[in-house]
Amino acid sequence: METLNKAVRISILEDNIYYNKLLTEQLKQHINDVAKRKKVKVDIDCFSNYSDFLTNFNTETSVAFVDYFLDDNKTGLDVLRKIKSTCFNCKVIVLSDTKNIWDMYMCLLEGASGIIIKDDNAFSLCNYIVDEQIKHKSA
Amino acid sequence: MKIRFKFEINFILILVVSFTLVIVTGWFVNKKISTAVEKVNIRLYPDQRLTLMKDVSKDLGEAESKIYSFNLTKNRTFLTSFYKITNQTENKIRRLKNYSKRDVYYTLQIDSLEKLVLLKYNLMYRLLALQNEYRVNEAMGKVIEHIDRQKVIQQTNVPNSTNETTVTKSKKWTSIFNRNKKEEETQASEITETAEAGLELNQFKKDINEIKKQEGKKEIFNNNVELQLIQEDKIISSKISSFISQMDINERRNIARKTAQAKIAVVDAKITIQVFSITATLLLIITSLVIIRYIRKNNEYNAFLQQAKVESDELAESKVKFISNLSHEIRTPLNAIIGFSEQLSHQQSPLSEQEHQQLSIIQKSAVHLSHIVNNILDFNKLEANKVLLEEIDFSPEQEIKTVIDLLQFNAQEKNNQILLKISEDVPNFLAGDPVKLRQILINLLSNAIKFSENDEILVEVNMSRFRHYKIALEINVTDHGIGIEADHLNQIFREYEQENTEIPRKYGGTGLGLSISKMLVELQNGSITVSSEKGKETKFTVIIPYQLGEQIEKQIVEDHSLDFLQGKHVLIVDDENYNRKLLINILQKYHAHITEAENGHEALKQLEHSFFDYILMDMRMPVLNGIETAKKIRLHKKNPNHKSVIIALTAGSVDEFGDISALNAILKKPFHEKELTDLLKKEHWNHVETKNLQLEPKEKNYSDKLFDLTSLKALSGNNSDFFQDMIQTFIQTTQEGLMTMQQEFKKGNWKQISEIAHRISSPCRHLAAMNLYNLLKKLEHFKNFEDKSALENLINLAENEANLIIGAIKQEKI
Repeated sequence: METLNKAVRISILEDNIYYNKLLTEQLKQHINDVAKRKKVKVDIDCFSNYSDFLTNFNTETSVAFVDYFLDDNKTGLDVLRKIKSTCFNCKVIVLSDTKNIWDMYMCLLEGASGIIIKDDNAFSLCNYIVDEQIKHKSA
Repeated sequence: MKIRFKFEINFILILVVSFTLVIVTGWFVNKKISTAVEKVNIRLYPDQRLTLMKDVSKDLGEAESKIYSFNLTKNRTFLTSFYKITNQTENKIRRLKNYSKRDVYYTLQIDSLEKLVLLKYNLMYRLLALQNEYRVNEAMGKVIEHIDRQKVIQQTNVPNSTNETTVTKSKKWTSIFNRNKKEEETQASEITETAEAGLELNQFKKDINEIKKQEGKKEIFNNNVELQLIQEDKIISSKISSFISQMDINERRNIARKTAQAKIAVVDAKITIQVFSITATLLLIITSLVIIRYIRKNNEYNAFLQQAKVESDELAESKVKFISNLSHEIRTPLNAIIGFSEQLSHQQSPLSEQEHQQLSIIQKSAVHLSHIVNNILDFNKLEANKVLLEEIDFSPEQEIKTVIDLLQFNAQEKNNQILLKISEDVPNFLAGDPVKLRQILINLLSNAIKFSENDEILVEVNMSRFRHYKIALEINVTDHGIGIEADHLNQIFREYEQENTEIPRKYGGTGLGLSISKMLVELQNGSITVSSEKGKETKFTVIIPYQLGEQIEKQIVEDHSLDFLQGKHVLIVDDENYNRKLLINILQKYHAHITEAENGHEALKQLEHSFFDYILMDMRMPVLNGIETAKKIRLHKKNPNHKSVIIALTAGSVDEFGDISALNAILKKPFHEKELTDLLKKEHWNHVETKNLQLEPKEKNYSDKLFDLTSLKALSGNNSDFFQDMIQTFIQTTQEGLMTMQQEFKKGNWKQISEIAHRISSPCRHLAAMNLYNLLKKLEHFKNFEDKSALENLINLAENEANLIIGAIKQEKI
């Protein structure tokens, strides 16, 4: 029972396979140490397209990292709305390569917890967000 | 419709008749066959009856033989069997009675048989009884015999004991064999040796002989009785036998009759089935004929409709061609009128006030005529669904301001003022077709200016929710002019219709402006509505859904200087002399070197020995038209002119020329000088930018290093599998992305190219392949899709860079 309560689920939706694998690997490496110390189980679900994400998204997800520009004319906004309709408490972080203020504004309006620009600091920020989730669960 | 309806009725009728026929026939056939089967089944009963009767006859014979056997052998087993047979016979007769109880004749017959059988058995019993009596006589004979024997013994043996024994035995015999009322107990008497005892014995013997005689007589009587019984038995047996034979014959006759009836029923059924088959076949043939007739008629109508459609399409096509030709013929001279009148007004030597006025009138009339022709052509295109929407990023505020600036002069002429009010929630950039938006606004504002005086015309721009669209631009154009009657509010959107017949006389116009605006709005899934109060106010509301756009990179056209034209070589290709003269007049002012050609063929000759920076080419020319000429120029890779800027000048529709990828830009006639010079400026700076990209790839963030795997190695740590996997993923996604980009470029899917570039750029950044990253970013933000050569160059550069990187990675044997 105790183990079940202390579980963090992370979802990643990134249509670029390289970046998807990169983010997943670096999160896994980071989580390994932290999760062991805090005795929290961490699961990561990876998706590379919108339809796959819709079908298999777990409503127990604690935090979702979602790329803004996706295939099939979909954007992070569409994903954000879907997540919020099924999993209101899930934190959604939008990853974007562009600095379009209007897009970011719309995401925040729709309930995104944050925007991360895909630059050199992106991974550090993702790690920080996951750490916060783990701490929150272990408390 | 009528024919279809009739056909359906006929078809349903035939179906109903067919079903009824099937049901009725089936019922009849079923009945006939059931009758036939029933008649056949009846055979079982007669057979069973007949069998039983024969059994009874057999039983009688068997009983008789049992009786005789018993009589001969005195074996009681035969008697037991006889009694069994009588029981069986009784059961069989009972069963016979149960068959066909309602058949009176049959019942009588069975009753008769039963009586005969009973008589027979009665006879047998009587015979049996007679046999028992003989035994008594026999026994009596034996008694006498024995007495005689005893007499002899007494005379010779000891009297007492032997005599007692004999007497005892005699008593015994007497007691055993005395059945016929001689139940006398003979006392043992002592036989004396005297003659008296002998006399008594003789007397006794006499008595017994008397009895024997009597019995003898009885026996004779019994024999006679027996004979009689036997004769009676014979008679009864023959009666029974003939009776059974008769019944057999009757049954056979019955069977034959029933069989004949069954045969008739079967034949009837067969005939009914045949009749049904023939009728069904006929019905099927009729149905088929009806269907064939219907199909044939249908085909005829389809062919007729097809023909009508073809003719209608041809008519529509002819109409389009006619209008296109007409507009071209009108626009070409209009171009000269507008152009030269413009040149006259700009010329150095001053004109008198009157000359200026006249010139102004010429210009305005020509412009007005040009607008009318444009409207007709646009309407024609909209009707034929040949208008294509563009999707580019634009600034709504800028577009609206451009329109207002354009019409400011017209407004001021009637002392009208155009006020613009843009809401704060209107985004800076939207994605859509700004040209269509301008056209709609021009129509609405022109009308507002036309129908009002000394007025403030308000243009309000807001964001709005429209149907299922999240973002929609709402533009309200309000004037306080003549207004529109409430009854006429709908008709003003119809083509060639204005509120009333006075309007065209008083205010002019073709009545196409609003219908074109409506069609353009609806083409973009929007809506246009009007509210008005006659004599007070009119408000047009246009709502068009858009997507959010991205910031447009500023084109460097702010510089109004046309100094770049100085010394440039320009080739003007047009079969109309005055069009060439107009262009020469304009360009000479900017000190460009100009060469003329009358058609594409001549132009190509010129291009063989001279280099031209710009080629201004009319599209419709004899010998070789503009588009074919442009394609030939591009194909000739060895000629430096293959990279020249080719601007098409056309009075017709662009669509009629098909693939226009060989052109850099298109300018529609009639055009103003400013339109030409703006276009030349734009093409000049595009050309410069592309050249810079080709000649100086090392500007901005460009790096000498192709890539850097440090970051990836650090992340992979000791996990070489992961490292290899990431490298392969990068190579694969980049190669695939670039290949898809080339394919999309050939198809003209510009948006896809941008998306792909965005998608494959981020891994490049991670691997510090900054040259490739920057090229992909340029592709992502590339907007000037008319400049296909620049786009193609960028894609090729990106591909080359990617190949270099991948080659280097493979060389390092990672």
